[in-house]
Formats: sequence, C-alpha cells, structure tokens
Amino acid sequence: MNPKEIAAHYEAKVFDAPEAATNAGFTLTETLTPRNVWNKASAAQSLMLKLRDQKDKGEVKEIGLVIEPWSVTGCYVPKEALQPRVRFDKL
Amino acid sequence: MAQEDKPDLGSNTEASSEKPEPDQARLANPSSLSADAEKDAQVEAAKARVSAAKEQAQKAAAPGPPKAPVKKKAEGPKPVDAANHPLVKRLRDKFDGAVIEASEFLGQLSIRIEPAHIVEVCDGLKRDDDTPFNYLSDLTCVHYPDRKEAPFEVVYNLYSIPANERVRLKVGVDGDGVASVTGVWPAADWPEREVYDLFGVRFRDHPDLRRILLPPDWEGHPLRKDYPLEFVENKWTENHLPEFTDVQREQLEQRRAYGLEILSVPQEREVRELFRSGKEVMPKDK
Repeated sequence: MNPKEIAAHYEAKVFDAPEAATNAGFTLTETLTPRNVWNKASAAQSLMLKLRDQKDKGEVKEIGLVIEPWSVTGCYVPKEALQPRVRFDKL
Repeated sequence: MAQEDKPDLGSNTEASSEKPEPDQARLANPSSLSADAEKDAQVEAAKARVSAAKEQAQKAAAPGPPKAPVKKKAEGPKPVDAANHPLVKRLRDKFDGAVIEASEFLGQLSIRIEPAHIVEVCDGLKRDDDTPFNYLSDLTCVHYPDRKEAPFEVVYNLYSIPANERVRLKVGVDGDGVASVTGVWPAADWPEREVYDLFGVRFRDHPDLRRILLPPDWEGHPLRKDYPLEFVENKWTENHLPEFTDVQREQLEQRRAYGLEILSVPQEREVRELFRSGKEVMPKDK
C-alpha cells in the first residue's frame, strides 16, 4: 500500500502541504523523511498507528497525514477544548 | 471568278460561331467520344467505391455478434479446512479445547492453538508416537496491528525427522505474552529472544529473556508495524553514537562516492531539488 492508501485505511485526511493541514485546524506531529517509497509507506503506517491509538483513546478528534514528495507528517485535530467561561458582568 | 477563288469565309465564320451539340461533336470527333466515356466510367467507379466504403462503415458501426467473455484468471489455491487431518484429530482427542482451527494450504498443515495450551501441545507433539516432532525448525512472529485482542501471532514451525513431516502451530498473543517452549525444545531459547527483541512479545518462564540483536537500552521493537523502516535518531543514538570527526565524515563521503551508501550528499540534494520543482520522479508513489 502507498501512503495515500494507508491514510484511507485508517480514515485519515490527506494533505499535500503542512500549511494546508494547519489551515484546516490540524496540529502537526512528527515528520519523517524516508529515502525510498517502501520506507515512505512504512513511515506513514507508523505515524498512522500512533495517531489511531490516540484516536481510540479519545485524545484526538480527527487524524490526518501530510504527504509531501520527500516526507510524511502526521497531524490531528485536538479534542475540543473547554469553552472559556463567560462572565455575566461583562455581558 | 474572284468570289470562286476566295474561300468561303462566311460559311466558316457561321460554323465557328454556332456551338455544336455534344452528340454531334462526338459524332464529329471520335477521339473526344472515347475520352468522355472514360471519364464517365471513372466517375461511376468512384461512386461505386464511395458507396462500398459507406456500406462498410455502416457494417462496422452496427453492433456485431456478442464477444466471448474474457476468461478470468484462474484463482490460485486457497487454504482448506483440515479438521479431518489425522494429526488434528489426535490433538483434539488428546487436548480438549486446545485446537481452535486447522487449515491446509499446498500440503502445509497449520493449526491455531489456544495460547494457554501451547506448551502441553508442543510437548505432546514432541512425544507423539506416530510423528514425533523432535525438531523446532523455526519460531517467529507476525504483527497484525488491526487485531486489537491479539495483535501478535507467534508461529512455531515443527519438523519430524523420523516421519519427514512438518506442521505449523500459530498462537495469538496479546500484551501478556505467551509461555516459553524452551522446556520442550531448548533450541527455542534464542528464537524467543529474537522475537522478544524485534516484536516485544514476552515469553513467560524463559530462562534468559533479553534482547539478542539490539543494544539492551534500545527503545522500541523494529519489526512492529508502528516502527518506521528507516533509521530514526533516538535517545540511544544520542547517548552512544559520537558525532563524526572530519576523518569519519570524509570516509562516509568516500563510501557514498563508491556507491556503498545509497545516495551521495550532492545527489541527494539534487533529488530533493527535483522534488521541490514538482517533477514526478517516483510517479507510482502518489
């Protein structure tokens, strides 16, 4: 499987640039720069498995993978932070 | 007399001014008749050719007889259930609930064993009267990250030297590990250490369970699917590998120049530039 197929297998969103991921609200994690396609697939799977475990634990809401020609980067949408309390006297 | 001597110009001028009828002209000139006939024949032939081409095109456009369906590629052999295999029957009779399932593929028998019964099954196979599996050919492991309950499968390849028969035992293993079979076959010692080193599967009651290939303080187990294939800097490399001296760096450059390393530094830079420029160097990898 190539990195795209691996990302589809783990229901992850695919981006072609880190900026695209950050603009979509994703937080970047580890970046791996493998030398060849086989290592690239392995790197993608390793990132995906780590992120999938986080998703299963409920730590992240959504996972994604940034696939660039020479590198792969994991990314995730953090679980929604608590809404800041609104003080009534300021309303 | 003068009129008689003169040629009759008037009659000639009249004849030249009048247009002759085509038939008359043909009759008058037999050579022009044959040329026209040739032309007519050519036109007729061209018309015939055009009509034939049209008919042919219509025939080609019309749906012909249905084509024969493309033959599907013959599927390869598939594993079949081996519940009726004599060895499986013997095991079922001897060890109740130990055999989960058995399959045979290309004459190779594989038996999935309940993890709690692995040692007694192995012991029973070793002491079997008909086919004593007295040789542990190999002990290895497979990682299935999508299987949540038992992500590892430890595989025992057994061989019976007297009976010349082989059998493969498989045990699904979770985080608790599996009992060691070093008591049955002492040769299982190092393969179990290797599996522990590369997959992180723990073997209970192993006499000396520690890493065999990697340094003892190495982090991670490289044959797991969540471990990237390529070398990654980690704490161990930080602690143990000193920075390159100039001489070592030069040696590395020489190794790269002789092709002992995959890419030299300038080559690598060149390839990276190629990628940055958007050219497809590895079109399959999308």
